[in-house]
Amino acid sequence: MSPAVRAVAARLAHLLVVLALVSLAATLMLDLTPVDPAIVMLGEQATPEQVAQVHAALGLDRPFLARYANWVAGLLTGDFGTSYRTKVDVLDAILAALAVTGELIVLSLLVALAVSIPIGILTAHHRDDWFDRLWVVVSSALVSCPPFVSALVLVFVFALLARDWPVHFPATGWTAFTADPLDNLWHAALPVVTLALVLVPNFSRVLRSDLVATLDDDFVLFAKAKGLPMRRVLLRHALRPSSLSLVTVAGISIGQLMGGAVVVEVLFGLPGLGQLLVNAITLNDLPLVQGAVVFIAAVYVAANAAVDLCYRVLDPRLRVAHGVVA
Amino acid sequence: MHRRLRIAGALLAVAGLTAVAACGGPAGGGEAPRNQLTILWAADATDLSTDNGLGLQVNAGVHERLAIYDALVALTPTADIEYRLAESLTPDGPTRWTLTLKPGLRFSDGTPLDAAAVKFNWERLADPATKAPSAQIAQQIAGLDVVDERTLAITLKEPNGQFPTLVAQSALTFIGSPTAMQADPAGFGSNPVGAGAYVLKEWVRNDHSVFEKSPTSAIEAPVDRIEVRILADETQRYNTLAAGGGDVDFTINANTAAKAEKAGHQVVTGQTDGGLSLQFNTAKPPFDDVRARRAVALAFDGAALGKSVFSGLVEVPETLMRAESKYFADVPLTRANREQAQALLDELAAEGEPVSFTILTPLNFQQVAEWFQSSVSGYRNLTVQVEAAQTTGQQLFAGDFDATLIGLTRFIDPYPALVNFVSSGGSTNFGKYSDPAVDAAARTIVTSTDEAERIRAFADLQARIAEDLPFAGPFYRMPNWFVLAEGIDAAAVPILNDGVIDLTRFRP
Repeated sequence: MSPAVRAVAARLAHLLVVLALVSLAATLMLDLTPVDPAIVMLGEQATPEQVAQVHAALGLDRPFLARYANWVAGLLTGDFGTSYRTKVDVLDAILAALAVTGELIVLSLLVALAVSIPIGILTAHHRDDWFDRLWVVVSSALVSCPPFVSALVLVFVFALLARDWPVHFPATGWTAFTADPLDNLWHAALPVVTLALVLVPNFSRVLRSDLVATLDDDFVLFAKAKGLPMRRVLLRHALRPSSLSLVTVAGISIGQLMGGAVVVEVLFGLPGLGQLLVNAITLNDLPLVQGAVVFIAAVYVAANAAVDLCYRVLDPRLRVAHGVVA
Repeated sequence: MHRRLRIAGALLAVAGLTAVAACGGPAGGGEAPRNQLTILWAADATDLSTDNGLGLQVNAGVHERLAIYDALVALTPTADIEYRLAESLTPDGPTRWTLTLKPGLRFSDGTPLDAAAVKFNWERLADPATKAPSAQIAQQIAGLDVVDERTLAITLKEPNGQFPTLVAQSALTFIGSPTAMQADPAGFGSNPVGAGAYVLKEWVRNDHSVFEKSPTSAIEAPVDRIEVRILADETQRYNTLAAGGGDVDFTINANTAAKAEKAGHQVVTGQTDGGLSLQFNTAKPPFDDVRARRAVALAFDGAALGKSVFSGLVEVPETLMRAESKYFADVPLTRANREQAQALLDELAAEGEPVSFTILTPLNFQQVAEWFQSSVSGYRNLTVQVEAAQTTGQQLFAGDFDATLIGLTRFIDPYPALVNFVSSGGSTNFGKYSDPAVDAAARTIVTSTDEAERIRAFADLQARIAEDLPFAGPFYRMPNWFVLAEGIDAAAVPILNDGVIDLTRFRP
């Protein structure tokens, strides 16, 4: 088995162990809550006979491990179960919500990278001058501002105050990209900016730090000595080897964004995974909670695994170290 | 280099498109022609079937159901019956009624809404296998006979002179297409088919639902499109309205209504009688003794509650019914009186029965329960505990409580809400209260078709309740408000029952 295949297999095994633990914990946690799913389904006026019927139908009268095994067996065949309240398929509900959360995450990452990379390059190139110092102050302020605060400020300024301005944005709501791409971007703007604001300080600082080190490397000095334009030195020679930490942080941020999306989706009333999870918890819709938690965990772990594997592509030294490239 | 330029170009294009959209967003601003109505509501329906909801009264899914099914009959804010899909619903004797439908009614799937369709719906509702929350109401029907296409003969198990009021306030008023129900029984709740002015075009759970004009409905749709947007958070709903994202914002928060009026919005109020009350479990100590009930009622200062918890914005009732109600009787509610309350508590303690009890409360009234607990901390011989639970129903049905805060006494017509709350065997009489005088009055209220006789019976009922106190309160009324976007006149928003917008008469 080649080292690369071994590395992928190891990450896959890690992913499966984490998922097993998360699913077990989610099921156990929900099992310990005092909410009776039969009451959730039938309402509070349900008779004891009706409650017993539902328990039997859902297998709730069986031992915990048997129910867990049954649920896992369902997961393996793509059956995440059915919502207690709405009777809709859990996987369908998750996938519908994922379209929103996925778009938010992708757009937030793109916006954050689009803003952070130029700032990172500028601050590294002009280290310790006024812009670099100003950015330290601005990024510190942004880091210390949680998403729920920035979301409220953005809504207040760009939705409420800007109501009669030429440029304004909605306070809440969502339109699917397939229904109306322009309206979709309009609705996504404030949530995406809210999420991106959390990422930009970290991304730009990480890139600056690595770039500063790279710019002192011999090969960069050599490139400068050859008389290459500074722009070319920065973008062609220094940026790529300095982007390893940025890729790591960006990959890990997918998980962070999943968490941030819960807050942002609730604050902006967006029908994404976060909103789905919050509603499911509020309404005691246990299969939906289980499904969403496992799904989010799977995405989180898969994103981290993908980041690990990306190192090998970006940094030839890792491949050399493992003997892949001779 | 070219690839980087393309990426930069794409990013610029996205930013540009967003800016273009922001300059004239489709839902942004109040300039959009009002051929559509966007209602901002607090909670989504679990489904939109005919059998899984309540009637035409404020609850999750009521506007959606009104759009899809309209209603056989509805209650007006003055507790009168309004015939909508039904032409009449007339008594033929104590237990017999005849329903006549308006001509030419069709479901949106093209099938007729006829007497057979009503029979199918009501029998389905009564079927225990349907597990409908309103099954008990439908089970009051003994038999249904289709006389002709538009006429249904109804036989009830017990005499009832107020059957139309019962229909209006229960799921009996919504009729779905039997063809669609039989074709996909499980999916009907997500793909409902009715004879209302609108058809469901899109439903994203817990986010929004969209309705468009029905091509087959006999009812004229005043706007082309209705959207019901779900935003659980009070501030979010108001901000969305203020930012131009909605036309009507539903709220039960007096602060929001006051803030909106101050900001220049017109506000429509859905008024109700009754309000939040403390129901006593009269089947066990301490509240099997009327002196304990009276002591607690005297100790509960509704006016102080209104000031401390609701900034003085709630209406603290003096009587059970509002003065505007046709069922108003000048029977004052028990007013707070510390000395009298303490004297009764001391009297009970001297007999070896100091009052100690737990208030069972749903989470939404927890603050009120805790306020009461702290407000009576200075009393001798009175101990109050609070048990807040997400769901209280099972404990209430089992009679496993001392006293409970409950909003069930919120109504326009006291039948069936108040009658069920206080009469022996009433479905919401969790405290097992039983009094011959109350039962006699309740019987008249239910069976009589003579309005004057009913009004007298209500007055008797209110007097007896004030004397015997099966519940304390109401401490405050529980109206709801609709905050209207700029440019919408309150007169354009007609209200049904306790605060449902009549979508077929909305003239923006």
